[in-house]
Parts: sequence; structure tokens; C-alpha cells
Amino acid sequence: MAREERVMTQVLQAVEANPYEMFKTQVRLAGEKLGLSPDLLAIIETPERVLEVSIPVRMDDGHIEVFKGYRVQHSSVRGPCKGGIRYHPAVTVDEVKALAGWMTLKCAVVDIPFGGGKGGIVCDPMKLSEGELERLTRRYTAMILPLIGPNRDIPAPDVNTNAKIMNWFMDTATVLRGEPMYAIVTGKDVAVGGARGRREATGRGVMIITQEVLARLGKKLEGITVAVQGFGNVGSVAALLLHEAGAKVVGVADISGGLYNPNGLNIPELVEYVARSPKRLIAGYTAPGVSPIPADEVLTLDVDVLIPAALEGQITERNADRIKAKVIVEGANGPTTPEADVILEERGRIVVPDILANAGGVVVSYFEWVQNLQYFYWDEAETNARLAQIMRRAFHDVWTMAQEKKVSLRIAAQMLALSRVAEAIRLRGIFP
Amino acid sequence: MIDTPSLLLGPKVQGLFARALERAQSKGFGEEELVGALRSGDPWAHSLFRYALAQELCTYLAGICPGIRRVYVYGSTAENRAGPASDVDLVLWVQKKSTALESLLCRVDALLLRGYRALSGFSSPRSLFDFHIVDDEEVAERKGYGALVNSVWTALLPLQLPERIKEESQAFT
Repeated sequence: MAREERVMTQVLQAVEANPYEMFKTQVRLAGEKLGLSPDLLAIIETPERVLEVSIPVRMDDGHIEVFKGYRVQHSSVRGPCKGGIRYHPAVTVDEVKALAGWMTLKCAVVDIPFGGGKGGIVCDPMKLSEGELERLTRRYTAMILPLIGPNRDIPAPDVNTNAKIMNWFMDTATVLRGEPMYAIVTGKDVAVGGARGRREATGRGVMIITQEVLARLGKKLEGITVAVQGFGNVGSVAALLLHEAGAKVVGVADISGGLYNPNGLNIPELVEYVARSPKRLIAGYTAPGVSPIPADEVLTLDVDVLIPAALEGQITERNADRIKAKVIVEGANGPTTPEADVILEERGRIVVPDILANAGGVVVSYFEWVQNLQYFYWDEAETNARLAQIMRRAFHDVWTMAQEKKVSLRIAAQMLALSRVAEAIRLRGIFP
Repeated sequence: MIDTPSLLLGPKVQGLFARALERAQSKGFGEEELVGALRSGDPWAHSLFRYALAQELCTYLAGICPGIRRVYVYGSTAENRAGPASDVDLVLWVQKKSTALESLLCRVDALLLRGYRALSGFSSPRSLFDFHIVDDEEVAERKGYGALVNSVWTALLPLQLPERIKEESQAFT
């Protein structure tokens, strides 16, 4: 192969794998459909601020290691920036920029008063001791503190980060600022300002959205058949709530395999089994009428609703033509590839996009922030009721946009989000 | 990296670009010669490579979108006068329009444009493909770009579709 071709191949590989390029393409397409000007799209495509920090950490053996971290504030036109912090060896600035952009769109779809942000540290948390992890978190917090705050930018958990890390984050900010800073971060434990119902929020949102899409098709949850791929925080909660609402969850799968019962699985029993199992997996579960199936078969079961709630890229051009579910509700981020999207749309399948279907988590993060600012805490029932209200309204708005513009729910969600961001820019004007 | 709500393209597109290069080279250009001609802005080389790219794109799309009836190229690429700033005009005749297809085309175009720029050394054009998607109704009623199909004034160059689709398409027409 000629040298130029090799260079071209490298360029293509880099672009293809670059999520920020994907984000910009989505914005461009939705923007063109809305008739937004190239000037406006250029503003929306580009993050407001990108901060790179060096984080020196004294390791347990006494040597100092310097980690690299980022915080990207994509947009604050609709409110303070909001988005998680991930700890992963493959974190790149372009990935964080894209994820921050998607947070802007996600917050706009559900119409909560936040813009988008995201952060990350290039590290392998599995190789760090608890002490090292705590020192890393506290130093990172100190390094980005000048730019964040309850009215500026509010981080949250993401890949490999959790409530414990958020508690350290809040504590560090509180000590350094000399005043309580509960509202500087969400996803904390309830005892230090976390919201009741936060853990179940994404799965609950998926259930509400499923109910809404079925209602538009003239169906109710009672008696409909469901398959769920992924049985973690999102999949297991969605399965349990759908089961409680009268749906028949006939198939579930996680990385350890799949389970199938044409008469419906006993989801409460399965959830208890998984909670007791050392690795939190469904492997080894047995019950009358339940047969084990290969994990990927759960996607092609003959069901009314499919909920991919595991990893990205699960529904591809290789299996999309075998998916029998009429409705697909994306509990995970990016479970459907663009090629599969084409096949599913051509086969008349309804895909509720991730940006809407799994937004329950960020909505309850918003509630946590509101409660922290007011020092007034709600019970779980209130959280759930308000979550349902916001998710239903968001679904209605996206569905209406899709009907009016004759586009898929995915494009409609992107268009709706973009139109709200563009409107805020237009009303505020450009400073100076 | 997991957990990105991304529009990831499969490995096929990488293959698509490489196959287009091979296809263009089989028309008499050597590897170095083709790249050199592209970099000098030679219209024949640009037209040849763009046509090859359009053909590979057509094959790729037919593999995932059985509703495609015909794909045509026209304008500068079809007439062997494409320069570095030209785009490739394509008419995609589909059974039914789909926003997912439109979204995929937008992503593919952005990706291939970057590759094209890297290979040719030119920073133009703004987009590589100018897609015009038309459905059965638009072709039958000669509406919009649907009027180009069967037009006596505009020469559309049909791209080759895989056999299965070609047969279905012929049955329709």
C-alpha cells in the first residue's frame, strides 16, 4: 500500500472512531432539517470551555504519579452544565467533548434547566487502591474547582465512578470553599444529600417511556411480552417495574447468559437471586419453565418490546433483520448502530432513542440538585411522580415532533433538543 | 470505550474506501500514479475515483437497505470533469424514504470526505456526496429529483446493484 493510502487509512480510522466527529455530524443533520444557520450550528458544535488538568497523586508505594484529567463545559445557554465524570484508561479529550455535547442534547430533550458537561480522568481504577482513588478524586476536584459549582457546572457519576467518589468530591469542595457544597455534585449517598430513588431512576424512566409508546399504539402494559438485554441497574429495574405493571418479561440476558420462559419469568425472584449472587449475575438461576438461552438470542425473541440495556453496538446489520419486537426502547447508550437503524426503520420498527429513553437518571440528578439547593428533601414517591411527569412530557414532545416532521423518533429527539438550545442562544444573543 | 451514545460505523466503510481505490487502480492507474493524479487535480483521476467510491457506496447501502431500487450518478463525476472542489451528485431511488438512511448517509459522507481530503491533499469540497433521495411516488409523478429518473435532458449513469435487488427493481419497473 502506498504511503499516502496508509496515511489516509489512519485518518479514516481516527475519524471513524472519534465520537466528537459523530456528535458534530448529528448536530449538522438535525440542524439542517430545522433550517438553522451554519453560524448557529458552529456555536452548538463547539464546547464553551475545555479544561485539561494534571493531577499529581502520591501512590501507596511513595512515588508520585501524574494523571491527566479533563472537564468540558459544552453549553450553559439553558442552565449550569451537567454531566458525569468517568475514570478509564481510554478517556480522550474528543470523547469527553462529544459526551458533553450529548448531555446538552439530553437535558434539552427532557427540558430540564441544564446545559451539558462531562469530565474524565485517564486512569485504570481497577489498579488503584481505595486510598489512591480517594487522593486522585480529591486532587482532581481541587484542580477543576475554579470552574465548577452549583450554578456553573455540576458533575455526577459515570463509567467507573460511583456514590462514594461523589461523596469525596462534595466533601473536598466543601472543605476548600469553607461552606456546605452539597449541590456541587449529584449521585451522592442519601445520607449526604443524595436523592431517594436515584438508583432506580433510569430503569423507571425506561418503564415510563415503554408505557407511553405502547399507549400511542393503542396498547397497555398488561399482557405485553418483553425481552431485556442487560440486568444491571437499568435492565433489572425496568424489568421489575414492567413485571409489576402487568407486562410479561419472557427473556432476560446479561454477560453470563440468557433466560427464557414463554409464560413470563418471575422477575422479583430473579432480582433477589442476582442480589445474592457474588458476581451479581443471572447465571445458575433455575425455575420451572425457565430455559437457558445464549445471551444474544434475547435480542431476537418473539416479543412486543425489546429493551437493550447493556452495552453500545448490540443491534447491528447482522441481527437487525431478525429482530421481531415491534418496539425497541434504548435503555443503554447507543445500542443500535446506524446501519441497524436503517434496517429497523425500513421494517417499520419503532426505536425510542437513548437520548430520551434513558434520561431518567439525569432528571433525578436534577431533583437532587434542586433538593440540595433548598435543603428540603422529598420522599421517593414524590421523586417518582415528578420523574413520570417529566418523562411523559418529553415523550409527548418528541412523538409530536416526529409526527409533524415525518422523521424517526431519534431524529425528532435530536431536532427537539437542538431547537431548544438554538432558541436559548437566539433569545440571549451573542455577547458582546 | 463503552457507554458512548455514538453512531459507530461498522468496518465495512473502511473496506469501502480501500475497495474504491482498488477499483480505480484497476482502470489503468498504478497506486502512486493515481494518488499523484488526484493530488495534481486531474479531472479524469478525480472522476474515476469518485465514481468508484459511489459504486462501492451503492453496494454497501444495498447490503443494508433492500428498499433501494436504483442508484444513479450524474453531473461532473458522470461526465469525467470532476475537480477537487466538485461533489458527487447521486440520486438514490428508494421504495420509501427513511430518516435513518438520511442520517447514515450524512455520517458516511463526513467520514469519506475526511479520507478523500487526506488522500487528495485538497481541503475542498464541503461535502463529498450530494445525495438526492427519491421515492416511488416522486419518480412516478416526476416530482423534484424524481423527475431526473428517465429524464431525456439529464444523463443519469446507473450504478450496479447486487443481483437480488436488481431483479426486484426490474420487476417493479
